[in-house]
Amino acid sequence: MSSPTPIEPLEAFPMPVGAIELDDSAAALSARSLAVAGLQQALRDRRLPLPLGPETALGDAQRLLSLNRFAVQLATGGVLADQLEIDATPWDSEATAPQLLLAALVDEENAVVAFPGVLTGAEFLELARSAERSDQAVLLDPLAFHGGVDRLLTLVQLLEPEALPHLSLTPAAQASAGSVVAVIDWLRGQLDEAFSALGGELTPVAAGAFRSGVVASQAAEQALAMLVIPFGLSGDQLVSGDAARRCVRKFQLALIPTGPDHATHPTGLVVRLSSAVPGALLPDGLQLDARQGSHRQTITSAMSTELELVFQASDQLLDVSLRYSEAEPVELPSLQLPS
Amino acid sequence: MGQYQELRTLNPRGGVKAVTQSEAAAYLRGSLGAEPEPSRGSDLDLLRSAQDSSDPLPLLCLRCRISHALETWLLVTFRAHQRSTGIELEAMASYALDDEGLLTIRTGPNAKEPFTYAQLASMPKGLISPFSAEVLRSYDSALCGLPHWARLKIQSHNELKAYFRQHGLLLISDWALLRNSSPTRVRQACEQHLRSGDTIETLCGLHSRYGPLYDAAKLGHKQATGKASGWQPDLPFLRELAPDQDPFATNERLKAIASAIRRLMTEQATKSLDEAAEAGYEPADPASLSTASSTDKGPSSAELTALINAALQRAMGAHMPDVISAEGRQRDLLRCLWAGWAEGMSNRPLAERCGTSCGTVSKKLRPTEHATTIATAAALELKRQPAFASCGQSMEAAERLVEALRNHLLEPEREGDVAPLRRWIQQYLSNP
Repeated sequence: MSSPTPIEPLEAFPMPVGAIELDDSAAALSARSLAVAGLQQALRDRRLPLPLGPETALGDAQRLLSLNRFAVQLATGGVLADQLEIDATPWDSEATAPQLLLAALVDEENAVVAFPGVLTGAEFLELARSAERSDQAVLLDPLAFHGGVDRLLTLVQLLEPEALPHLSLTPAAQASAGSVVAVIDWLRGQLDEAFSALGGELTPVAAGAFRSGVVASQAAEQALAMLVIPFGLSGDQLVSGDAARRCVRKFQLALIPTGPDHATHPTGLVVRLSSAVPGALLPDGLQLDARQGSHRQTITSAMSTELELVFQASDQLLDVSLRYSEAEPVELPSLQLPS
Repeated sequence: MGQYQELRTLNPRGGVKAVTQSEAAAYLRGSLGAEPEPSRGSDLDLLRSAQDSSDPLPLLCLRCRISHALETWLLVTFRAHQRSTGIELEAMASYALDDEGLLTIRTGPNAKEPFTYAQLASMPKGLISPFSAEVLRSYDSALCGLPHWARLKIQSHNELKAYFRQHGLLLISDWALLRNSSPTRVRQACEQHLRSGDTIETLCGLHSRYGPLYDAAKLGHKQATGKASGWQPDLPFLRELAPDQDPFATNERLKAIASAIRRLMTEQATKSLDEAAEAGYEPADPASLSTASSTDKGPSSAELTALINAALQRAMGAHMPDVISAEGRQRDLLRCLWAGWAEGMSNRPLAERCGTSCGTVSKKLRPTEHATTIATAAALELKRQPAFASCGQSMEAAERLVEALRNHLLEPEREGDVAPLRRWIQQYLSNP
């Protein structure tokens, strides 16, 4: 060990800039509740009547906050903490991922709360890639956050909610990579988790089969099931699930196993991309790509109302991906169509 | 004169004075022949004497000893923060050095009893006066030395903490500091600032077990007392933390780690202040406002400027009157502070003019925060204009616009001009 440097240690520390002092009634609250009380105080100080929820579970550390329709994760640490533990659980899927991450430094003994700042989902993901992990937590330096609570309040007031996508720490492409889904399960009403994470839902064939308007009659007659996955564009980023439903440019990918009447095994699969609004144009530049063994089909939208690819059952797995611009493509789990 | 017979106490004329306690000196001469060197052994001998008899004098010796430890703590803290925050030694001493050396202790509005250990032990829970009595009543010699206990107790003195908060300072206990330090910080602190017979691995191992136990103990303390402050590790806690170690030694190790962390943070704070001074302050350029939202088509620059100014005027008019004109005791202070700020005064002269502390000035004014709120409100209005519509979809556009508006409010466009927010306040306060 080296010799200690003769420094007179500080007993008291300067209060962080913008720190909020709560009254004595907050003395026995949890760190989370103190942080929420600090946020409420910040809203009162600025005379901003923004809705903050969930009203009955604001103190529940497992829940995201909803501030003016934005999903906000609250991460708390001590006022002198040099590391914040960010619970990574909500970031496992786009369906549950927050749009913003607010850091709160809480001094429970003095009932003081400081907000070093906020990160958007994209900013958090970038930091998380190189961050230290501990169990289900991502460890970040509070200095990684910036803008104080004012940045949060600016973003949730000025932006439309769909402008900040819900991004998963485990991208859909990665989440589904390597898994194989038996299409026959869909005929039994079973849906794989990887498709659920993308927001996919099995839709009754009769009700919705070819809602996009132009019906490929043979396929329509032979549809045995239909899985619909909502997609959208947030900026140049492809998003799915709830995040997609909030996008202005949204569309859906339908996977339709086909076969003779009352067949128990599909003999083919239709892959169709269409606008969420029947008959509307798809954004130009969407590329649907599918590979079955050595057989590959690619189609790109250009003034298109839909894109469609058709495959026959085979021993080969079917890999489907959707791409837009330079963004990371979304790769679906490999599909098994029984030969 | 030694620490067992000289009482350091608040001087009503200012500062701290030394008062020799002749009864304590006589007691030491009579029982020990002379005043002993300050040590843990002497502390324990005196404590045992106090516990075994109804004599108040051994306790008076320990009260003297405590006053020296408290004075040292006060002076270190005072010197570190006096210039930046305006804290006063007399005010601090009034909480810690309020012992006048009397041989009786007040037990009710008109009641006094001999200042003995038995009397202290019989008094109901809650802060008792003088503060040295509270230190002695709660002291457990199996946990740590008496001077260290005095320091821990003053760290959690609620009224002193409130005084510090008023001046923009936070008293952080060793226990909270340990909990909120990462393994990386602890290792660095121990490597750089701790001389110990223990290895770094031993100390880091102790710290890694500390966090979960602290969380559980703190939760129990809150439930039992309704307070977040005042928790100190007890014997069961220390035994659970290090089952094969003497609890006193474990406490000493925790204290040593916390002290090393404080030294590391003091060093870092000093460095960052030096770096900030070297780097200087460079405000963002308000001129960016005119180009922040320019588009190829649409309103001219003059039209945009008019839209922006009108939106800002409305936002200032909606927000600032409530901020400046709070009712009650703060009314005159707030008006004084804002008037001075609008003239361009900095915190220290402003504090002197309005008869308050620099910390209060910082907390009451917060012009940047208010400018941001005003800028955001103005941006919300401007967003309805096509030229600013991108602010609803683009985070960069939204933040750029708010930053430009905020800087425009706080910084004059040309040398000699008055910044819009200052000008607005001057006009508002000049109206009867």
